[in-house]
Amino acid sequence: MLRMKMKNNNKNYFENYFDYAASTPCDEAVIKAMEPYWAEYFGNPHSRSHKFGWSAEEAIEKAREQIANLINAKPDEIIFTSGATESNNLAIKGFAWGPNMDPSKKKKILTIASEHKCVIESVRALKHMGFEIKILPVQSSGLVDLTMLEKELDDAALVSISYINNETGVVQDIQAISKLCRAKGVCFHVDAAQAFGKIAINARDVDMLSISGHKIYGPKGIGALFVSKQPRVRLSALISGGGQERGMRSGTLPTPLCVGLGKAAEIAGERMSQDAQQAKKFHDMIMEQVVNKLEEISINGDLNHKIPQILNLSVPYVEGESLIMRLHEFALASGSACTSKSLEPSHVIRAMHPEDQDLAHSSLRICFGRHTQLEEVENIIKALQKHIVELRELSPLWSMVKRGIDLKTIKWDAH
Amino acid sequence: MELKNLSPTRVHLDNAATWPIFSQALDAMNHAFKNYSNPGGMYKSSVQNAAYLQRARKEFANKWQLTSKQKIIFTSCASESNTIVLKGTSRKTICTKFSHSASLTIPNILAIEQNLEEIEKILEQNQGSIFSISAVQHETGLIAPIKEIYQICKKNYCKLHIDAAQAKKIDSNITKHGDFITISAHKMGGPIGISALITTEPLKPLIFGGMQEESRSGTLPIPLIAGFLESVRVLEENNWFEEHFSQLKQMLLKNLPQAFFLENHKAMQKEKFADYIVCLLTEDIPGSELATFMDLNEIEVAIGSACSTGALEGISVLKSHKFDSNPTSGIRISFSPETQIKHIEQFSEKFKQFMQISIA
Repeated sequence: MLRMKMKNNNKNYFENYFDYAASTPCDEAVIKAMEPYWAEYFGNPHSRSHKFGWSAEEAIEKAREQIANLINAKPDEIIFTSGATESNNLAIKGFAWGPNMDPSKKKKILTIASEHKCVIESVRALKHMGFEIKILPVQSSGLVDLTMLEKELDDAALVSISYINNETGVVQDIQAISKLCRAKGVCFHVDAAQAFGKIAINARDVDMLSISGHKIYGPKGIGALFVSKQPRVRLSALISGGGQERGMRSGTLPTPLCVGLGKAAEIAGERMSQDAQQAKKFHDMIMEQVVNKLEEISINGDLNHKIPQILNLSVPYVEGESLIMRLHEFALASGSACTSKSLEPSHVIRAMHPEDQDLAHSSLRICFGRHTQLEEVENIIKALQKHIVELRELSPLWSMVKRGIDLKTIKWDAH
Repeated sequence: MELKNLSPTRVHLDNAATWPIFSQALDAMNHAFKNYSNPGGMYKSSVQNAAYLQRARKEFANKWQLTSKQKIIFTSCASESNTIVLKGTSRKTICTKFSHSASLTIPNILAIEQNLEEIEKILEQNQGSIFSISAVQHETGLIAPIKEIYQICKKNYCKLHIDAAQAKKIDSNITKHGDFITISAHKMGGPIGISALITTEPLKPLIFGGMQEESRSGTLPIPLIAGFLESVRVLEENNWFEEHFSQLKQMLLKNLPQAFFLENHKAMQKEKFADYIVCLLTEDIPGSELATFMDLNEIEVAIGSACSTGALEGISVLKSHKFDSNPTSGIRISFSPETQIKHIEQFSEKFKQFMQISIA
């Protein structure tokens, strides 16, 4: 019989993992915190008539508190979901279909072109249902143009912008956007899947905030949505049934997964500055030894407005996928994990550089996490130096550039 | 098979809400939780995860005896699986009063009795719709005649959605007779937080995004899938479960007066009931009173369904049975592989005691 073999015990198996923005392993302390709730206190948290039920409910309430503490929210403003994708779907579609929405007045839903697929798809889905949608471009820094955003807010009902972009690590000015939205009475949703646990978040700036478990060393299969009670945001449920989670999300709550997310949030809070410092060290090593050392490598995203945990490079004159193939011993992404299989050039980088589509084809995302070792960073630096130089030597484009030919002046002949 | 002793002092007889997890499933999960990657990447560990998923899917399909047309979609819970079917279709959806409350809140419902002739009449009037029914009713343990219902559906160009959350044993006896099937892992020894939906036709997704699954987006939780698969294996390998449940029920039937059993009610004579869910009618004594009495005596039972949070709406299901004697209340006791004969003895004793007090 087929049995699952994941060689986790083999230490080398996850060596050279640089895809922490896609997923992180569950922290040992999180696995331990969940354990009793898988087996010992197996009561359905909604079963009110017995003791097991109550203790499961208490554990869930504690988890809500741990999550709320990290973002200056109240525990009863936290709604558990199956993950950030569901949270984003619930926030956008739930709001559009919910009682806060008055279609006779404002019905414009705004987002930006560099958003995660699930946000863009959710917004697009609403277009077919009579809502007006607007997907704003981003600047080459990755930041949204606040003046442009402000102009669009008058007839907007909802704005959805991610705190930190999952491909570039660019941090949006959430406070500034919040002020604009508040001034015009527009509901503001923030996808914080990449930000929660990595930077200080004040939920009071926003109306809704999406949270992911497995991006912060918590379990897969759980996420949360902060839904403000003050001012009150009301959502229509996507998943209907028993009416759990203030009627916004039905389904039996997975007690151990909730506990795991709570614990992961608590640990992330404690380790926030430590994690960031370590990532900064590795980030700067690559900046010095690869970006600044080799010619014409660009960083996607404004260095002054990004987290050090994510570093997105474009290596012009080299095909991104062939570079990834050569770096096969490193776990890296060229786009986000959710879309990288499709081999499409990154929509995020394309949105940032609409005039230079080649950059999107040659982008590479390197992420640093809690378990990244100095040695692994040294390894990837050596590999990047070697393969970029080698691939460029093979590249006719590169040799033309070296000979001083401006590629934009060349007229390509189609065969 | 080794199972942890959950609580030495308390007797847990509310296992329809959830079964305790099998230790094998827990081991598989704890192992996989340490795994790093997202199955959507291009590098080795990610590709291996994707390959694992593919193998797991195949094994699920084998165990559940699916045809090549039936696809598995992993979701976060049975409510989500049900909602995908009922909201993701342009067809009309019909749920019976017997269905789990997950279906009740969906608009476009025709409440019908579980009565084949009536079902037939309604389906004749609503040809081409999706008819949704529980294979095993979660409050009463009533087994739906899936095979006959599927024939009626086919005759009327309807699709059948089976909520098999309480069916425990999933094989061709169920999967052959439905177009959409909801399966819940935590109700059969797997982890909570994962459910499967078997479909034969594409459904409009509830959750948009990377489209990791046909009709569903979101990173697939490999550890939960590993635990789910392990529970399916344990269920298959331990064929003593069925015999065990039957013994427990026989014991209960022997111990308590027959009039208390829903299945002995004259309106129920034609129906079949599962061995692991037993509904006891308490006539005019409120079920909540009996449940509280049991709770004080360290025995845990359910009143109504756990899924209607705190609402304790009484046994809404019972009201639809049109009894002559019109019983207003009842409790549900349900077993897991860990339930023992001595638990039934304890329960029976307390039940009799309660009845004596109440009547006096």
